[in-house]
Amino acid sequence: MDAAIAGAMIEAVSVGKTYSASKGRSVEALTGVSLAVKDGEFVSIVGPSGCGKSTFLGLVAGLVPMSAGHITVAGKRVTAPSTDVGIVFQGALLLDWRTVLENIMVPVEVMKLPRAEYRQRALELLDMSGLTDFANHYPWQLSGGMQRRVAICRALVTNPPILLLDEPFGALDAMTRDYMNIELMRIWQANRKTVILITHSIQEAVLLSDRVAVMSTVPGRILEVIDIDIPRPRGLEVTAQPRFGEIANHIRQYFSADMFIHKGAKTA
Amino acid sequence: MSIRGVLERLAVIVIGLLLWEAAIRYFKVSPLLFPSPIAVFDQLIRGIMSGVFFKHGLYTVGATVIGFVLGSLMGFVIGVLVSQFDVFNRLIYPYVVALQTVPKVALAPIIIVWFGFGIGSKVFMSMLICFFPVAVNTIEGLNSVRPEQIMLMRSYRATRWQIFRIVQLPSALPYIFAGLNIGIVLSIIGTIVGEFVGTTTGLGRVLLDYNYAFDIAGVFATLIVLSLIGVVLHAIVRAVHHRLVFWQRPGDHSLGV
Repeated sequence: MDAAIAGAMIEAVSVGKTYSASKGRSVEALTGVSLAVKDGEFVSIVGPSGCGKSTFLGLVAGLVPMSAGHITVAGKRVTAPSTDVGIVFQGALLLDWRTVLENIMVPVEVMKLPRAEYRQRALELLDMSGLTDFANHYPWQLSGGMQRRVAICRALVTNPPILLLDEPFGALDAMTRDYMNIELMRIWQANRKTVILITHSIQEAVLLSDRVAVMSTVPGRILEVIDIDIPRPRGLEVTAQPRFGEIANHIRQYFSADMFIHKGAKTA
Repeated sequence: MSIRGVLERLAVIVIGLLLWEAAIRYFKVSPLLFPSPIAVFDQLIRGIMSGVFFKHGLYTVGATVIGFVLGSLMGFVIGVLVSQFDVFNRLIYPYVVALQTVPKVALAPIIIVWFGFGIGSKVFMSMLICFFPVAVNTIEGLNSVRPEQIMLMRSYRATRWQIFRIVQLPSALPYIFAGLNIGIVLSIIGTIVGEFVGTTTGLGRVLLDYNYAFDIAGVFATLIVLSLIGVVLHAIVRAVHHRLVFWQRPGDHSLGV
């Protein structure tokens, strides 16, 4: 794959995004964001709400046109959505009238891939997520945590090398969230995807990632990229380690109270 | 429904009828003003036995159903066009809304002029009156899809048609059926109004004839037949609704216009 030549699976260079607002004004959501993610690496972006981190994900996914800079994904310039990328948004976004299995098959259907072959893969993913018995259930018969796992299976079914996760566990309660984090690590370790996770949970970011990028308030800039040198495999118990606390505190200092005093969309 | 529930409802009807009959007798109300339930029942049986209700009912039901199907189809198509193509949203939709403010019942005389005294004018009235709730609910339903859901589909490089077919249309079904539920009842009204204004057939005509003959019991009997037709047609739409939109939980999307 071309990515090996480029050295990075995802490479963002001086990316900026400006939205036009009402009365001819514009809002700068992102400015000068540069970030390279290696093949198989797990990188999280943490930042306050509305800092433009979801916008960044939209740019990487090719869903939102960028205003400045450029992004390369798997060696190709991003100009439109790519099938190399699987996305999980905050809501599970399952279709109520389709069973779990049929939901996972949506990308296969849309991309017109051979169904029988991918159906097998979908069943394997369900098995890996412990959802085999629920293949023929409808989403509304599942708990929130199970729905998220289905959403992750759906993102993985076409086996894209890259997974973009936009606060996938945002709406879950703390205990389910811990459990989902462990599940996600397990799935990631089994599939070795390149992952960008957007989150506002510092613990989640440190627990899961190889590196954590800290983003500022609007317009979003990357303030620091921190290596997480906690050995893998990690379980929830690492959150009690002193090193974990050190890193978490280091990140937390960026979000001290004074940072929020001038919060709000700047206009440019 | 439980047996107890059925019995309770029946009891309410029976008690209501008894009170009605008692009040008519006690206050000696003229049958020209308000008939007794026994007189209404008598006229109902007569109308059924003579075949009057069947013959005219069939005409009314026919006009209603044809008008409902055509009006709903038109509402659906316009709804899809308005929600999918900005041109229609900007240029056509304002006029659709403006048209809705015209009291359609008031159009009945001119529609008789255009479409004649036959079934055509009744079908047109029924169609016109059920069109709007279906169109509005279709638009509302198609636009109800969360933006992230559309983004997700776009991330699979879905075409517009795929997004429409896989996500938007099924999402809109609960709304569309809310429109159809209202539409079917309005369609009956449309047909009756059409029949009031000019026809020789249909339950609207029967109603007027009874009224002109000061046969108020007959008017009531006709009203009962009309109500039953309404209940049955509405029940059919509801049954299709629950069959087709099986994932809809009670209380969801009870949108009305």
